[in-house]
Amino acid sequence: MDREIYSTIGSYQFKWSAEHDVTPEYLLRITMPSGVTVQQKTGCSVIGFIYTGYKCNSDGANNQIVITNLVASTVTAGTVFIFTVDSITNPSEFIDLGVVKMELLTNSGGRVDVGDFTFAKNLFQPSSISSFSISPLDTTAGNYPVSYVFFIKTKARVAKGASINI
Amino acid sequence: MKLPGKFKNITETKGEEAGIQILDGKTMVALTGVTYRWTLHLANPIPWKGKLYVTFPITWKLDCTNIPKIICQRGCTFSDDYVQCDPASNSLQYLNGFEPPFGFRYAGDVVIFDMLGMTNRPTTDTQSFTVTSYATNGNIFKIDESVDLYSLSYTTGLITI
Repeated sequence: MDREIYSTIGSYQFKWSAEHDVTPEYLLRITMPSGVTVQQKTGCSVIGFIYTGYKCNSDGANNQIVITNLVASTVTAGTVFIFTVDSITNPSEFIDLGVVKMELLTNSGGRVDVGDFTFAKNLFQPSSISSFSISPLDTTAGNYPVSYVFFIKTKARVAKGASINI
Repeated sequence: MKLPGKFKNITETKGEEAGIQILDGKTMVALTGVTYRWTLHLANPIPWKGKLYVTFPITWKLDCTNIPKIICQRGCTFSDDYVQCDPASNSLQYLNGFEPPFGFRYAGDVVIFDMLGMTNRPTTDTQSFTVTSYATNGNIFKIDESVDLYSLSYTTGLITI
């Protein structure tokens, strides 16, 4: 992934190999754990495929990325594929994420090979506040009540529903 | 006796349930050199010179130039020299499993045979077969036919991430 910061939208790199030959009829389905969000797009971009005829669909409803037309001709078992998929959002907090599930399927839904991957426990980290200041709207000594304005600039994206603890 | 009957699963024959079994745990997709064991519980007798047909799924086109070897384990006398492969019906036809003088099989008998050298299908899609027994008396007529007892599913291989 680009940055292991909570809630960052970025790209994830997948490096994998299958136990059986990969044929043009197969599709690859990647199911992300619920804490890592797949954006709903009809054509996610994939970098690193030799075969440019692939089709990538990111399915936000099922938190899945589906890549069809993986290869132009049969690729031998054990060949390592490396590609990067965009449109994935990091988790917004540290939770036990579960596993990334990868399946090589046929059009009829039959499965050929499956695998999973577990994120390292401390992989995702909080971002930092790059600047922070407080200004009272009234500077008269002893005045009450006085409103204060807080200026907070975060380094990374702040997820919907996040809270500030001062 | 009402014909054609249906092969059934006689629960009293513990450990020998009717169906197909993949031997030696070789259940992964695309494995070669696999043995499929077929266990039949006869609903009706098979008379002398009866035949047994195994029809493969439509999606599994038989290669009639490479017929799996057959070994009878119980209740039959099949041999590789008397197997026909029929591409039209996509079936293997075992012609001499029930020869005189000992070949008569009674209702409730168990027939077990192995198909050797099979190659598992490349995906986990369930494969359903039809097994049919026939009697021959100048003509050929159906005795028992399986409905849903004979299906196979496979386990997946691994993706290393």
